Amino acid sequence: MIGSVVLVFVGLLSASQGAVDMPIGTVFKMMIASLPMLDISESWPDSWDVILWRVRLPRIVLAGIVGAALSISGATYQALFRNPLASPSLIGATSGAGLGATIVLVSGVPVYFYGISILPAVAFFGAVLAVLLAYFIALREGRISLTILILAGVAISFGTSALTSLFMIKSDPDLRPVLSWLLGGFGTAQWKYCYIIAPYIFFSLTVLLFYSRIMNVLQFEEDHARHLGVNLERTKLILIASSTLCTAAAVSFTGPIAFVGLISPHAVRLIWGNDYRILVPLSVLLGAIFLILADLVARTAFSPAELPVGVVTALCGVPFFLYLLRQRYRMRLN
Amino acid sequence: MIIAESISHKYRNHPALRGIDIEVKSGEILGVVGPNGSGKTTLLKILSGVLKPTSGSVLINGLNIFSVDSTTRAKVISVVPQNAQIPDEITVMDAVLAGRNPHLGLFQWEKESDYKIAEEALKLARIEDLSSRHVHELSGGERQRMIVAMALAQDCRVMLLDEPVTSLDIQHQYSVMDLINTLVNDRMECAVMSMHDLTLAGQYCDRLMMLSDGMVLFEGSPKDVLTEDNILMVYGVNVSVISHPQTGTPVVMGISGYLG
Repeated sequence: MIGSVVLVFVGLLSASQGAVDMPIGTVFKMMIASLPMLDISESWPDSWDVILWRVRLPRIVLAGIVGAALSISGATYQALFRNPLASPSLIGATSGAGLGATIVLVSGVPVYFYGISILPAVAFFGAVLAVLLAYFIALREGRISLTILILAGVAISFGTSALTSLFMIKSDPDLRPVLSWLLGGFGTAQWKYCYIIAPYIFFSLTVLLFYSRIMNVLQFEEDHARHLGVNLERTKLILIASSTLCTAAAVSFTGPIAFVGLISPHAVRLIWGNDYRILVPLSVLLGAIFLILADLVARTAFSPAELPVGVVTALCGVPFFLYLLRQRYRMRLN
Repeated sequence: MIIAESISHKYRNHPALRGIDIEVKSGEILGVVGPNGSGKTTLLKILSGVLKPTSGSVLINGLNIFSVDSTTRAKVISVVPQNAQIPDEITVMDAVLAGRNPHLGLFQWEKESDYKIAEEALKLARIEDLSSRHVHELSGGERQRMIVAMALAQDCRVMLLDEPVTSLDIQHQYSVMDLINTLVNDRMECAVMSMHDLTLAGQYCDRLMMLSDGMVLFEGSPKDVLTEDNILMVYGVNVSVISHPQTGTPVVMGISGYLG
């Protein structure tokens, strides 16, 4: 509850800040005024409406959706692999997406198809293909070895990243689109992007929220979880598929954004404990809040120049995370 | 009631079990003993349904455990695994609640009644005071009681235990064995447990099965199975077996340096 209020507040705050500063109260009024049954007299310039509805809000909503998606897949992978280092990019999704995007950009295939960029679609399939490859390598006699899945995923990540670099060096065309995709960010955000990725993300988010109780049981060893009645192979498949779908959709338009998926589940864990029934929904909220704030800093700190949002997530997230770790460690010693 | 017929299992080409028949009647605790690598753990894995044997069948209360899914199985059989690794950062209550998993659907979270059952399991295991502690704060004995409580919360008729007291001190060995004994007698139909300590096995099991190299060499009452000759043959060690002055169960005493 409180989390949702904070999320809305952060959204408003972020909407009010930028090249044109709008008071946060006015932003709230502007949004309320759009509701059909209310009649609020316009006391702000018309240009503000454009800034709010066409520029800032899509960007904020996109950052929120992507933050939520990345951190729920991070939480899921951490539960599934029983490994605190797991993040959405662990088994190859992000680098697969990067390779897909790069191939399209350097191959000379027209990027625009009836005015729509095919880049996100290709990135999406790159992510899914990379994970599928790791999945089939780890599949033997109907069972998935999670250790092999991680190793295969990490190897595929390295391989695809290397190919991405190779393609970039070997080709001549303007590399800026690839670079800007690989750096990640919300600079090009539009409502259209939100509409396209939202269905995938909400679908997998719902599935994963339902599985949050079972993620608690997954914390036990594999056979123990089976003894406790978990249909382990089906659960693995569903969790891997949902979080891959989530990650692929999240990175397709905005590129890889580091640390959100790793850090926000851990921040929740360190403050509220290890119960996935709480951890999963709170990670979704915290991921959204964190990424909206990070994007706010990215676009306002050195305005008019923009920082890559990944730099901000790392620079703000890492010290905070280290502080939490240290606090937690001290508490445990006492 | 457990009926297992001609169970054989091979890991790659290495035979681990060769044609084992088991029948555990209602009200009975069957002890499985034998040296390391004789097939005890493999046998329990097969009885619990997580490992499908190369050949043979297992019926538990008439249910073919390899033809049903793990949820159905977990309503009939609960398992206390060997050296169970439990995540450190969860509370004792959360761990025991995991035992309710087979009774909950995908769209359900633990209900009031599940918390009640978990609390009752904690009480029976006499660790109700620890319910909000974290797992890393528990001693070895408390931890093992918690794992038994998890299995208890599953509310099953049959329990399988793989070396439940192997790493505990003598006080906790007896208190955990007493707990298991009471639970099986009061709330369950039957149990199978593998044991390393032969004297303890003789005290708590109604019947023993001695495995060697994947075969049952001796089977019967503790007195018939735990003899000096049998132990020399299976374990290759000379021991003295005397009758316990109070209970009359066999007490197995090794002597340093006395290999057969």
